[in-house]
Amino acid sequence: MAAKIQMVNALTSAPRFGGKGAIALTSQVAKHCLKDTGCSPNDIGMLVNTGVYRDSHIAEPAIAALIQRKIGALPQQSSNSEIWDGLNGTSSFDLNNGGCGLVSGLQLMDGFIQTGKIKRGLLVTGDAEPIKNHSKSFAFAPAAAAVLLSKSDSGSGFVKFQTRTFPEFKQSFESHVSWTPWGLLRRNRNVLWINQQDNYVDLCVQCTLHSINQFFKETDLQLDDIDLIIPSQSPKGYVHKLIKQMGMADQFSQVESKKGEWHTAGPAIALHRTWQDGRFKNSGNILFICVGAGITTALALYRNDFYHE
Amino acid sequence: MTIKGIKCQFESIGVFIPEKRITTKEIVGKVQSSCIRRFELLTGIKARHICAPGEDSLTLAVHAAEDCLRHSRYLPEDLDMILCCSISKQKNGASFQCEPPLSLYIKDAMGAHNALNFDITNACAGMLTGVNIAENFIKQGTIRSCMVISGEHVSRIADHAAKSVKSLLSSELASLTLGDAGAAVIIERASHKSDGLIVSDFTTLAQYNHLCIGRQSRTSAGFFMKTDARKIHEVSISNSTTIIEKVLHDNTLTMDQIDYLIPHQTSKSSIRFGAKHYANYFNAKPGEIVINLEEYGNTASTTHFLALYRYLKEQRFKQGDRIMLLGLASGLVMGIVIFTMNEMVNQYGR
Repeated sequence: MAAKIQMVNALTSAPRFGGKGAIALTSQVAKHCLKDTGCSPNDIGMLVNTGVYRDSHIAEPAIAALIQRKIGALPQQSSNSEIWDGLNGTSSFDLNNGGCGLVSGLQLMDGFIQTGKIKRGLLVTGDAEPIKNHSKSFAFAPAAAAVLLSKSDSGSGFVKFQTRTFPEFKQSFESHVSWTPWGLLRRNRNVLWINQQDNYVDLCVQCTLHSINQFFKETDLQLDDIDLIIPSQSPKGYVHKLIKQMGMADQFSQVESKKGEWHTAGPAIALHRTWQDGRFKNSGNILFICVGAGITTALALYRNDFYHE
Repeated sequence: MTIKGIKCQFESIGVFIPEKRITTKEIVGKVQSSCIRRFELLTGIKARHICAPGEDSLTLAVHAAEDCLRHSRYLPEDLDMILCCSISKQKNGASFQCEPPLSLYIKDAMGAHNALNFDITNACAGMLTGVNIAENFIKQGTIRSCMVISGEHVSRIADHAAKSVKSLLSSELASLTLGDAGAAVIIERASHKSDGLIVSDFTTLAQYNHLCIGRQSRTSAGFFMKTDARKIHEVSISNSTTIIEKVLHDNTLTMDQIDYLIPHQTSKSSIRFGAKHYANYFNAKPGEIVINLEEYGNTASTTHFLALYRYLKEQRFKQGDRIMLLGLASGLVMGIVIFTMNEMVNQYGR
């Protein structure tokens, strides 16, 4: 049995969170997601975080473990269980695949649901500037999203995943933290550097088109069969240029950020929009198109089975 | 599509230890206080190996991957998946890599062009988490083989700690145990039903996630780590017994049927205390509890595979031995892998 999307939630702007970082945003949206579904935190068998830019660049524990505690998925409070076949618990970890993290996470969780290792999984993602004013060219707006997956009882769910990398373009977008002179006094600090080449957006579009062609060669579908497209929202200008090449503007879920780009949460924000306006539930074939540094493209085909719902 | 009845096995293991070596005496000499004179006796760590200029998480991981392939029948292009599970993600020396993920650089350096790749972070249980994920992808039928890799350049954390430790109660004391290493393991479908992984699973007791935190330093290059060593040790030991008990029970095993138990390598005294606790709780002992700290220290997510590799090289294992890898990591993550040693024993030390 494939995994189906049970709920999606997103936080696209967070004025009331003030200076709070990615962990607070992501925890908040994860709580909303569970509340909207009526799902107990302890029913989550697996929690995966795919955000990249986190508070103070925390390296350990996994950010997912910090979120797990904040949403209250604490084993000793659980009345039922999943992992260890009877021993209470949620397993949490982080997955990093840049802008394609969401699709990689969906594929991973789909697999764990298919093999019966978990019944429900919560995929969360969020980015915010890790240390205020300690980054160069950080253009991502604070945003977070959560997607709740569960076993599909009908034919609805994920049908196919495809990930491709184009390492010949790995330098077109690179980000790292290094100890360098910073600020007015030029004192050494751990600074986040983001380097995006001028042709990065065009390369992303070029790689995506190549991957889409390959994807449809491997399926019995054609592009015309796609009812809804959920794309990455970064880099800036990507969706616009992709629509220009592909057409199908009506099928694209387009959301606009006024405060910067939405990074790893971008596709989930686009998904949330279609979840709210009913387009997701009324579409048969839904294609997720994600792109990120590497360059990596990740596609996922989701199908709503109207006959068995 | 899930393929029923598939079992997985470790096909080969590789490691890379940097040449540069630093003794515990040298580390203790850097600490401004005389309070930790018995650190070597307490931890069982005489030395650790650390990266020289030009070495980092990426180079450690790539060298470990190359060593793994030397003991394998796989070519890089045969691998279906590459998972990088390092906590540290240093590339070009001290730069911490955010995007693209380190796994992309590793697979590019190896020439594993057909492999799906992404990074996993789960503290010192990273590689065991990677094994769990790889096993599931193989069982699902999505892939046939996966290399789980980690390159840990964590010795800089010890440098930070050496400046701040003032007493045995210092929250950075545990950082002084850290050393650098790379490790890699290939997981594949098992050809015989009796071989391979019996169980790989983990759980996170997030109520203890504050007991060990590593984050970017604001005053020096790289990271620092604060650990409530006493508390994390206490809750790890007390909570792991019920988890081990459940796993053994579900697989109709008893503790004395485990030939080798390889715990996460933190300190000799902690491991011995844990061993004593398990012996009392289970009223049985595994054949041997492996301690591999003397020459390497705590190498974060790579410790289990470093110990496995050493024992393989020294031909201590025989085919059919039952081995338990026990991961206890920040989070608080409790991971268990139990497997039966296969013909991999023939590829090492001969």
